[in-house]
Amino acid sequence: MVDLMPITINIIPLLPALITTVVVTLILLFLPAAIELKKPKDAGPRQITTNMPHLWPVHMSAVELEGKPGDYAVATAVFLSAIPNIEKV
Amino acid sequence: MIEEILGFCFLALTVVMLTYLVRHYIFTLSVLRNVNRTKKAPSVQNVEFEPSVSILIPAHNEEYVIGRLLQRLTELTYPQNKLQMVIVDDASSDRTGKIADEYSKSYPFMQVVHRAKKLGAQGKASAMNDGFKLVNGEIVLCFDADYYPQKNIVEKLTAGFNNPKVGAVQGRVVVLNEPQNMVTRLVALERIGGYRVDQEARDNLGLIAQFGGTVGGFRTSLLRSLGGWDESVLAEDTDLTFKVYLAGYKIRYIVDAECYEEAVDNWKAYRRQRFRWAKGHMQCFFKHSLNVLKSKNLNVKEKIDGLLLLNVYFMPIFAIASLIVGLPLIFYGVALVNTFWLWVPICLYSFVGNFAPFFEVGVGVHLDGRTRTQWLIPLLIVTFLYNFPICARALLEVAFSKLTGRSKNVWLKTSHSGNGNHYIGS
Repeated sequence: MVDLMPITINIIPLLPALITTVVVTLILLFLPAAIELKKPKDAGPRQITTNMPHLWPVHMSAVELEGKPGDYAVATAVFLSAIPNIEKV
Repeated sequence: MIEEILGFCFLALTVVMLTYLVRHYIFTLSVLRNVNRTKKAPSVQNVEFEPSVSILIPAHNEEYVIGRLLQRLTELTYPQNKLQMVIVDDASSDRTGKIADEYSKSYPFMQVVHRAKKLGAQGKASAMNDGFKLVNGEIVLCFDADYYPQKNIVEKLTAGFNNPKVGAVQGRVVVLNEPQNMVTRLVALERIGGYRVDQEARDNLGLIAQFGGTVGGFRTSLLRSLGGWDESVLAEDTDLTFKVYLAGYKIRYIVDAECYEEAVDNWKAYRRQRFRWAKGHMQCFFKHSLNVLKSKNLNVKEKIDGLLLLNVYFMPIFAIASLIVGLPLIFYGVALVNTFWLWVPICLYSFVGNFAPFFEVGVGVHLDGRTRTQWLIPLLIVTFLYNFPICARALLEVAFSKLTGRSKNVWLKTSHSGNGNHYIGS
């Protein structure tokens, strides 16, 4: 059996340590997810088996492309799309 | 007295959750154990088995995606003289019917059924039943309009029917628009857990592999004898799954028969879709639980797995309920509860999203050769928490309809914007 400490006024001095533990745990859990969401490097879609030759990853900035040919966003996307995709497919 | 009742409820809930925990670990280990065997044995082994195949495609306002699918179906490697395609334009108010008509003019094996406005748009089952009247193939396969199959998917799916005991087959669903945003990425994770591990394990272990409503199909004769799709339940696919097993047939899951889907891309659409699934699944629980227990066509492990599968959408409610019931019991100082309460957070890992616990998703992602996608797995807690109110509302509606005898099924169709087109190369 596990004896849990009763919650009383005595727990107050432990609160900073408790809060720090919770915050650090949350950061450790969710920081990698936030990084991958912000800068996706493994977002698929993946060619999982060998007989789907028509599916290739598309760079996100090219997908959400809106604007005129001279715009900075368009030029960046065109530049990025010209760089070979070196990820394992 | 209250303390004892709460204690009993808490322990009962925790035992149920532990059962699911063990079940998911068994599934995961089974897939890991069979991973080499699956690689070595592709599903298409007997090329001489070529039954006539009908493909049913229900479509209600799918103008952004239907052309993509129909074009793909013209590229299938299966002999066209053995193919029939029935496209059901389900009272669409957009260009869906016109696009389908254009394809049927060019490809004689495509037929289009136009449903009138007063008959149509009442749910997928109703549209499927109308289209099914025209089906003349030995095998009938179903694809939703937003799907994009492999060219040789028909060969892979029909190979499962080599075995006369197999009444239905199911292929793997992979998210096409995964890079779109956080919702699609989380749905993709759920799909990986559900299809790469959960479904495959059930197939490996001889349990209840599930027909998912699309990317799968039936022996036409069996489906006719079962009465087609039941229009009174929202999860007509789960309903058919159990009807097939109760009739003495099996469902084969074919992991390498992959088909890409355009997943829901916002939380509102996610909620509507999951609510439909949850409510439909609960309706099936009430409809089939006793039949599963009494069936002579199911063995003991199929019965256990069938009941666990039918219960699966109750689990988010059970998990939250056990946390709520357990907390005051700790302060009462019930020693046994103290021990079990520690298990609850671990059990929560078994009820994330759509049947996809953290460790199943992790193993599925690894087996797919993915890398940084693993980093998103903790975020599945978001889908779990989101599923709780969805399942609770579904339970309330089902309970209300059971108590009052009034059943109101509103088919909240998932709309598709064609975002998946961006991810298909030319």
